[in-house]
Amino acid sequence: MRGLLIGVLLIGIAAGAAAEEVLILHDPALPPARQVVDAFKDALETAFSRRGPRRLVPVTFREVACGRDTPVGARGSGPDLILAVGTRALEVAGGGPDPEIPVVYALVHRPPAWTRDQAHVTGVGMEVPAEKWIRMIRQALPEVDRLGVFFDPANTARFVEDAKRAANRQGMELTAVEVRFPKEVPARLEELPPDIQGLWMIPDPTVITRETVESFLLYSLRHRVPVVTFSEGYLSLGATVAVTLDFPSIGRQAASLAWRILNGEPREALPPEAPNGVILRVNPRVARKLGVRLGTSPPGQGR
Amino acid sequence: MDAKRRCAFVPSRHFALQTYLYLSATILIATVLLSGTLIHFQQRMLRRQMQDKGRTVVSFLAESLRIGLFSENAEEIRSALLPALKDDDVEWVAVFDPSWRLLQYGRDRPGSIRNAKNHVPAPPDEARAIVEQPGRIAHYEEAGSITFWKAVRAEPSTPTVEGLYFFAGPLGRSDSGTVLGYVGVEVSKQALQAGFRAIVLRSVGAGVAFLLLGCCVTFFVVQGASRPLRRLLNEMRRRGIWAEPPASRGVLADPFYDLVRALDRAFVTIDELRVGLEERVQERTVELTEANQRLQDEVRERARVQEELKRARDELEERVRERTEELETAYKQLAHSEKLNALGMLVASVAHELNNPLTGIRGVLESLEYKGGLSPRETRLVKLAIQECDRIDRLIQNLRDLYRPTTGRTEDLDLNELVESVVLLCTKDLLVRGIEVETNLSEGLPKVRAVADQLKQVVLNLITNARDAMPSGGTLRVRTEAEGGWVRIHVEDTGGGIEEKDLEHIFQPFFSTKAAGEGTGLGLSISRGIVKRHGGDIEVVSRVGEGTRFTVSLPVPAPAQDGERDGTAGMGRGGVDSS
Repeated sequence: MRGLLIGVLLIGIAAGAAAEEVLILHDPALPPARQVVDAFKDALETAFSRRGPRRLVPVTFREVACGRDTPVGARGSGPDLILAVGTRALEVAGGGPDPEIPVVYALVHRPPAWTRDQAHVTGVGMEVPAEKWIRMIRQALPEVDRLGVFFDPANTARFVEDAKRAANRQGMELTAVEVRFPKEVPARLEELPPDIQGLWMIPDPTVITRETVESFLLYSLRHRVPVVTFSEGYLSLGATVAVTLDFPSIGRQAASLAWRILNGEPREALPPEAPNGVILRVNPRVARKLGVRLGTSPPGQGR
Repeated sequence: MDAKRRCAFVPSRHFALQTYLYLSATILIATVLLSGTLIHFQQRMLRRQMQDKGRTVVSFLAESLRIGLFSENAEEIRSALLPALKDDDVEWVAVFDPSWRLLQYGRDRPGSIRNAKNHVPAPPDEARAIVEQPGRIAHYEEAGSITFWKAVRAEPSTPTVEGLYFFAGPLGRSDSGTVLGYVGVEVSKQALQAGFRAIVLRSVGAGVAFLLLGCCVTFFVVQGASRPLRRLLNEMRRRGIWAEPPASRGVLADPFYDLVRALDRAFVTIDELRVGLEERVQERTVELTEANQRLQDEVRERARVQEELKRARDELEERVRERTEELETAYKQLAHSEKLNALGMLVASVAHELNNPLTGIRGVLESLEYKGGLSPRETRLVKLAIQECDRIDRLIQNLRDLYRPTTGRTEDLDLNELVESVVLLCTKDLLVRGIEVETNLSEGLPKVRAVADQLKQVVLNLITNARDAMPSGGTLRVRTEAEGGWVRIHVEDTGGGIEEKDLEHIFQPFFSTKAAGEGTGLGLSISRGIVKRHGGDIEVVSRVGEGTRFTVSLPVPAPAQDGERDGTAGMGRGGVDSS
């Protein structure tokens, strides 16, 4: 009996020594960071448990919260992989003493420039592909053919171009209005052609401020056109349709990348990915007041 | 109270009129004070309402102007100002950019907005410093207006693009953020002043009305109050308490003074009566307390006596009950004793009747022995039969002696023979009951001077008691001895013994531990009496579970003259009790 206990103890110690350590850096200022981290941990533990009983403790996690004041490189050294949740966490992860430790990021809208030539940095972005955007807008607003969109060429020129092409392919017309300062938005809104049937708010920091959002929503009310936005929070203020991200899905998607890296896949074969989990939400009360007909949406996703 | 001091407040003339004037003046002062206070507080309330209104208007404008100033859209700004200008109290509104440059100015009526930078007073530095603080509103007051100032602010953009995804409303938090411009509103004080005037007029009107009403009420009250007083004066005058004419010494002062003095005297009398009454009440209270105490003592004493009587009655009842039981028991024992006495007489008679045939039988046997011709065996049997006849004869003799009434005659007795005769009488009965008899008779025992049948009765009683103490068998030891002028007979059994609590009662008459009908309870008592009358004593030693020993001690008579032999006083009087 004593020998059996000692054997189990030794196996446990050996397995613990062989476990993969994942350092999770997350920005607590981002509300869904907890959802992403929990989904990531669940998915990665599940993936390891499916591989077989070779390890009693297949993966261990260490979490570090990164605020605005956390210095770059505060992550320490030694983990087998780093999950960076948020841009600030990604900056901290990139400044460590071991530059070759693989980094998987999530909740990063657009990765910093230094990550482009770093093969050990990959992750799941927040930018929904324009093709998917247009498809979901068509699904939610089947009678809308002409959309107005405001963008800052310094921020979202490429996305708007992709969106124009995707709209053309799906039978829509996209009227893109360039703005370089937020205060231009209210005036440029009045310059929109009268046949615009809807407004599309894209995540452009020049275009989206509290005042411009108010202008968009006032325009929607005055001209009875629906506003399509990218966050569920705007639905309650008067937007009609929101194409939002499924944050647990992003966590699972990042876990899949981490799993492949820890299993030795070449890093060059793992480029950054667009988010797979996207949810379409609508505000039927606003749609009814605007006189807009909503298309079919997946069950349980309406507001 | 001093009567003169009381009178100092009473007017000497025109009491009712002066009272009426005093009360009216009091009402007038109260009315003025109340009206002034009311006007003051209502003015403050109006001013506060005016200020609240100005703050509300300037806050509303700051909110409405946010998008216009954000987009620097003059038309948007103008349309935001129009609702405020519809208010009659708003004199003008002005909008400035962050550097306090005038952007818009509107005045009086809707549609009259125009740029008029020269007509708008610039806010003082204090007001500017106040509005620079987030959420603060500055105001300063002039003779005809109050001007309010507030900054128009916009929330800064989200620092990260990710933050755009997690927006949580509401929009338009205008109390913080960057300054987009400033708005000023001048509110006219005409409405405030008109309100002041209306309040003063209403308050003065109400005060005058209240004063008139108070005066009327006071008049009637004074009239009503002075009427009984007047009746009192008339009554006093009628009764002679006050006989002075009103005109000479006043209407009220002197009679009132006399009245007060009379009242003082009455109070003094009442006080004296009260003090006397209190003393009497106190004395009576003390008396009553003492009487009550005595009564309680008597009650307690009576209760104690009753308790003692009850206890005595209970004890008496208990003693009566015990005596009754003793008498019943004695009656039963006497009846049993009579029965035994009759039985003894019967036994003596039977013994006597048996003696004659037994004499004949013995004569026949002796003649057979004397005649001879018998075989040795027959000769032995005849001798044995003659011995048995002798034994029967002795038994009969003993029975007759035992149950014969005592002779009361003293004689010199050999106690060994006496003991042997009694043991012989009892041996058969004892053996049948499984009791072994051991006798140890001392040789050379001196004779004692005693009544034989009485001593036999004593020994028989002791042996009978020993027999009854050993229902399951045992050993009976009978021993005699002589020691120091005394001859002693010891009767000892191996029975259950006598309990210590019973030892002191066993010589009392009618005391018996045997079942009813089995003993008279007189045996030991009679035996002790017999022994005492012989100058001796009877003692008992018993241990529970081991046995009992009775010792009869009799004195050995000193060698005496022959004449004294039969003269032992008290012995031969024949009054010895027989059991």
